[in-house]
Amino acid sequence: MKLDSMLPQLGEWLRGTGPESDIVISTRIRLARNLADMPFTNRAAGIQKAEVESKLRETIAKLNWHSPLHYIGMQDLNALNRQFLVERQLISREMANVLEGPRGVAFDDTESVSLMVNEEDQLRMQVMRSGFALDQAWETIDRIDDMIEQKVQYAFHDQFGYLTACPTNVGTGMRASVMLHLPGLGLTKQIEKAFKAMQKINLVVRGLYGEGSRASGDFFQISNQMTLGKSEPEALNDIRSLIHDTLKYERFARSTLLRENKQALQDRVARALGTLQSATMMTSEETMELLSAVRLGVHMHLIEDLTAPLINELFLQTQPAHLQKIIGEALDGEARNAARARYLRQRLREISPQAN
Amino acid sequence: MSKESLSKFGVRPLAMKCQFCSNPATMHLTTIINRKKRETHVCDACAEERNILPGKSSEMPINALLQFVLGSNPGIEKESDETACPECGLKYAQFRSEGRLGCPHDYEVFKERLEPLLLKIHRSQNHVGKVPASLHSARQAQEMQNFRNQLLEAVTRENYEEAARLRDLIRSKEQLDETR
Ligand SMILES: [Zn+2]
Ligand SMILES: [Zn+2]
Repeated sequence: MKLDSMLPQLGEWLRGTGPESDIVISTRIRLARNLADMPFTNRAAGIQKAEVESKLRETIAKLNWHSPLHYIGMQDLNALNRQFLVERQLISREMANVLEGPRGVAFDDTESVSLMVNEEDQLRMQVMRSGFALDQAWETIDRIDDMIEQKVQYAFHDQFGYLTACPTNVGTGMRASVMLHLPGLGLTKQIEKAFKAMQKINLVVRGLYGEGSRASGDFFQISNQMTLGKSEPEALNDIRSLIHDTLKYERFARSTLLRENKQALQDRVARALGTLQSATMMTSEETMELLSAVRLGVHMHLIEDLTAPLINELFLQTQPAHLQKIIGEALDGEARNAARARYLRQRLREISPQAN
Repeated sequence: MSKESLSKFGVRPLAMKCQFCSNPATMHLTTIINRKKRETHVCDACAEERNILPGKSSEMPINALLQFVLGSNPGIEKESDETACPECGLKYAQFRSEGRLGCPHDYEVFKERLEPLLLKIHRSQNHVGKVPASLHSARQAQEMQNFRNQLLEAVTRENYEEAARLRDLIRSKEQLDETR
């Protein structure tokens, strides 16, 4: 398949729809699996890796999935195209950069399912959904796992469960992650409080937040850490209850802002939009920050004519590999910053903040 | 990897130093593991080298945790680190330095040393959750056979109350299987 044809399209997870999509960007669940009686990828000889790859590739090709799964060998992709797939979250950075030998990825047209072969584990399955959709994602990946398991024998241990190269994944092999946009908590400086609530459960929270007066702290990813001693539904429940609390905090923060600081908020959003519409150099960092403010503005009805899917599209298209594919040439950092600013100006030309 | 791609989902320049090389840090990660908050400040070069990447698919905090747990485990004597897995040849010492096991057998070969490690990471040593369907049915068959043996034994001991209980249990399980 031609990767370029994917360029204008948004994967399912970036659709900007789904439950709680004003705050929850996407839900992702991955399962790590290995074949019985085979060394793990990092210790397998070239011929063994080839054997694993051809076995899994054939199995994936024969899967009776409702939409076709396209398999691409990593050796057939140049660095730019591998980076392109990383930006679309279809492969890991490790897959793009680190591993040697036969390896590849299969994904469907909606980009909601991706199956990596010979990553750190021989099979890394991933299901992505936009919005807060843990159950849907689990159902889908559980089904794919069952279908593959009918064709191959997984490395499984009575006591330790599904065996993985890294003991942090052993057991269920499941990592569920939810990506959140929490500008309200950032602006009201309550992100610390939210972190404290998160600390009560054993979940991993990743992300960053700006310090001082620069309110950023927008994107956070919450994942389960433990894969032993809890069933998949139990682990998902832990995440679910934490997210529900976080959503409550964020909504409260947003309504407080709207009630008590509407003008300042409006100003902030309008300035962010204005900068995106007029700057001539734009780094990725700044783009992220400004789009984050604009995204908040859209969900708080402070901007007209702009939709969440368009913002998601801009997030995606302004990343280096996407940008270079759109422009159609390789660009160095500075040229990219100019091209990014030009692209943003074009896409946001007609948009205006709400004047009231 | 370019600076821009690193910045996806949250990288911002602050006047802090990279904790690995003391260049200006460009990434500031907050990780919460087992109720402990950790901040990591790194520059792009070190982030790339160490595969520390925010958001996305990076599993950095978990790998960092593993390194942390493995590194703070002085109770293990050197000698036993030399035992190698007969299947893949991995020695425990190698696992300690690399953080990756070599093959499924390693979980048996190094079982005694992995158990306390797993307890630290997961607070558990036992899998609870999905079981491959093939094993699932094998387990069920085994369980039914056990019940039948117990039933036979109860009958020989003329413990008819127990026998009746087991008979009903077996019947209900068989019916459950049929309806599936
Ligand atoms: Zn550094
Ligand atoms: Zn081994």
